[in-house]
Amino acid sequence: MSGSRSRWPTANIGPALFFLLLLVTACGRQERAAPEKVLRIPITEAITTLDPVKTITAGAAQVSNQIFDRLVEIDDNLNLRPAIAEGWETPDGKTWIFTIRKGIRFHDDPAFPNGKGREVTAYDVEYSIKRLLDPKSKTTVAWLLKSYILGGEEFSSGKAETLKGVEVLDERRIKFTLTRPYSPFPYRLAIFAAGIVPREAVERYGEDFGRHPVGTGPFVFKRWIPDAEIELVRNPAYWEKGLPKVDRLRFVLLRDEMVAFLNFGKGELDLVNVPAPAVSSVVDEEGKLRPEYAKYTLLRGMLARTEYYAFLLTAKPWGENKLLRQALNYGINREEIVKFILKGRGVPATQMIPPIIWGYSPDGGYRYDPERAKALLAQAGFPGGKGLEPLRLVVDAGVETERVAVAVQDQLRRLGVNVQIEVVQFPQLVDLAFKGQAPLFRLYFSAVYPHPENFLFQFLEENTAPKGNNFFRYANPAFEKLYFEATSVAGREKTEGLYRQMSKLIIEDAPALFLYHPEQWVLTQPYVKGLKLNGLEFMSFEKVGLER
Amino acid sequence: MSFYFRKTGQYLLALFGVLTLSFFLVYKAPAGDPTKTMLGFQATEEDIRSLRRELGLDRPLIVQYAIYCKRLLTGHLGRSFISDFDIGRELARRFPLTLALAATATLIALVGGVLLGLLSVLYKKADPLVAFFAIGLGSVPVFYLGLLVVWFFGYKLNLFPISGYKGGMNVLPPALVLALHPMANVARITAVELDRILKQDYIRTAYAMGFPRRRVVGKFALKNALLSVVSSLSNGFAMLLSGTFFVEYIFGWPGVGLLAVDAMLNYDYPVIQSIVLLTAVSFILINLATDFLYALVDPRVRG
Repeated sequence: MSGSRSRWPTANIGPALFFLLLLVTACGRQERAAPEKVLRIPITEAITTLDPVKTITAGAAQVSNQIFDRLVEIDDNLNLRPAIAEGWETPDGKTWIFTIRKGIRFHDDPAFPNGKGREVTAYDVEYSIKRLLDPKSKTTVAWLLKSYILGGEEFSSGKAETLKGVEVLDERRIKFTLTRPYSPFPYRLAIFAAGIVPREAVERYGEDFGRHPVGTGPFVFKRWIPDAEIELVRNPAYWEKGLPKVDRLRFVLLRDEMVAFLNFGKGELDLVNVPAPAVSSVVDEEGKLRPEYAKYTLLRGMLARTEYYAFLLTAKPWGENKLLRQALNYGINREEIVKFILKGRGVPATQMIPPIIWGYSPDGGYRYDPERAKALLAQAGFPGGKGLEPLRLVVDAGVETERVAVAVQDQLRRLGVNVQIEVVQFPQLVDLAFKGQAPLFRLYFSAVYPHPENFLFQFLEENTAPKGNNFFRYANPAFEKLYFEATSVAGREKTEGLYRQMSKLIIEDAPALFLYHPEQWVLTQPYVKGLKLNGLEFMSFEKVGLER
Repeated sequence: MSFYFRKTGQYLLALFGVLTLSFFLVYKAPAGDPTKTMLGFQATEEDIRSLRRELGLDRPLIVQYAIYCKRLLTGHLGRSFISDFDIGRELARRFPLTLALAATATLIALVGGVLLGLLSVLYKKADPLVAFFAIGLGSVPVFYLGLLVVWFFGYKLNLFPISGYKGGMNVLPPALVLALHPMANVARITAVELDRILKQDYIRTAYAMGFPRRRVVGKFALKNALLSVVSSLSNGFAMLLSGTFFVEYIFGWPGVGLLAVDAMLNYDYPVIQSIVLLTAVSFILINLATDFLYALVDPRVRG
């Protein structure tokens, strides 16, 4: 009786056991073959193309950066590193010869004969740079190169068929001739848009190349489910031996940052940006991870980006009175803004160049000093702010931008300076900056390449808006002289002093109210090793490993 | 027959009005110019000028309008300013997804709303509860409710994956969020209609004949109430089709709404116009279908 009620059927146990045994051995075999290492990364921005010349958003750059290589690239410490080019030389800063590394192959693709990726030559570099400057490419970043490369303006406006300044010397060497000596030139070749692409694939896929990218990078494009995910697989022929460390990158395409964050908490993502509303639940007042997040790793990195309010130097009285602008700069309590509004995700900006970029002057710049601010205000002719009209400040709509504006307004009121805030949409702000229609307006500068010159060239008189992006309408002959001297000499040792002097001039003239450098906060699962933030808004994944 | 022609003509006129209005309104948005967002702060005036030329934005507005109309007549919606995709192809891919989402939501709203309406009429005690649900949940903004649903059901209870779209399997969570507003509406209409109908003579007759209350309400009254519910839903469905923005954004549902959000943030004129047009066309088709159906059912309408 009890036998029939037993939970274990006595009769058929033999075959069942045999089957179980089979199952166990099958599973065991599977485990012995190392499981595939997949890194899952959220992208919270619309991606419509991975074509390097059309990659302008940080999200798309994050993906396309893994597929394409440039002649030179930026390493984890913001230094230039050779990539497709193994080296370069310049006799005079005007002529640049790059030597192409041997044995770099494009990813295998049906676009090539037999589907096998061929070796990269100097002709590919020529093709890719010309494509970047070609008006038919409709790229929005051609301005970064076109006025520097000889004949670039003519070529990119369609007036010339050939690009004079780019010349292939032989399969392994390519020569760039510039319009004038310009030492930061290689940095400009490190931009995403200058990724090296194969002509065969561009011609085969045409308009769809952006949905079918073929490059030389550490990862090979595998598939793209629109608005769902983009998958890349390890490039076994990558030129840096032993890399990449993971087999597969899976970019999960989401929109909402909080949704991505919750997904990370569920363990469905390996890393995530900490969104603003989640900051106080992730870290405590001292910036330490709270207990429920302690198992994760928090990576914090200052971005090569400066947030500031620009003065219109042609507006009275702020534009013509530098003591007044200095006074306001001393009157801003940036620590307070960083602590209470950014919740610690930033660093006070004392000057235009961020501390992570060389050329930053550690001993100069503005720190909160209300006494000095008051003294300067009096010296400027407006003791206690008497006689000053309210200062109109225009910012673009956004939770953070508006809060910062209110904080600045409040802090300056303590000096006796009244600020009127006007909130507009971003395109309106750009419009107004170009037309010079506000005495003080929000701007920011994000490094396109990590070189002090990138932060300073906006102060050249020849770049005065609306022609260029000198929205301040800043003009200083001493600054110009230093700029042209520094950019015509190569090497950090020889030029760092010059850039620091320029930086000091900008501090002295105070064309802006410097605010802060934002930080990027990334949480990773505990088993993610080797991820580094480099201060630019993208990450490289070839050195990242998973150690479970 | 003339009725059908007249109606169709009216709607075509309305459609023309919508596309004209949408064209000029979008162009007249404050400083609305995609070149600003495309190029940002680091471009020069010359870059902006050449991009405007490239996009045809430097021509007089009326010429741009004529080009736009001509393109529409030849069946082309054009290409996106920002990312250069073919708008027609993109919408054809996305519209079915939005349609599926809106249809599921409408179904949920219909079934849920009618049940709630019935509940509140049959059991007077349940009335405040239903009212709370209908008015309370129905008034919570969708973007907030969406996040709440993701957090509670997706994260805390782990009932569904929250990593967005995975091949159409998780249409339910976003559809549920989307359905709450119309569901509240349906519940209210059902309850009000039932109340009205229950006071009518034939219902009294039914009671007099000895039918139980449940049967009277559930069969005789409900059938008639459903007519107004369904006609209100046809409009609701059209509203849902155009109102999926926030839900698609939060749930990462790759439909038309998601595209609309991107297009609006970037001042991508041709995409915005195409979506407005698509919405107008679906509204009109649904209305036209409703009108014709009414006309078929009720000859008085044709008169």
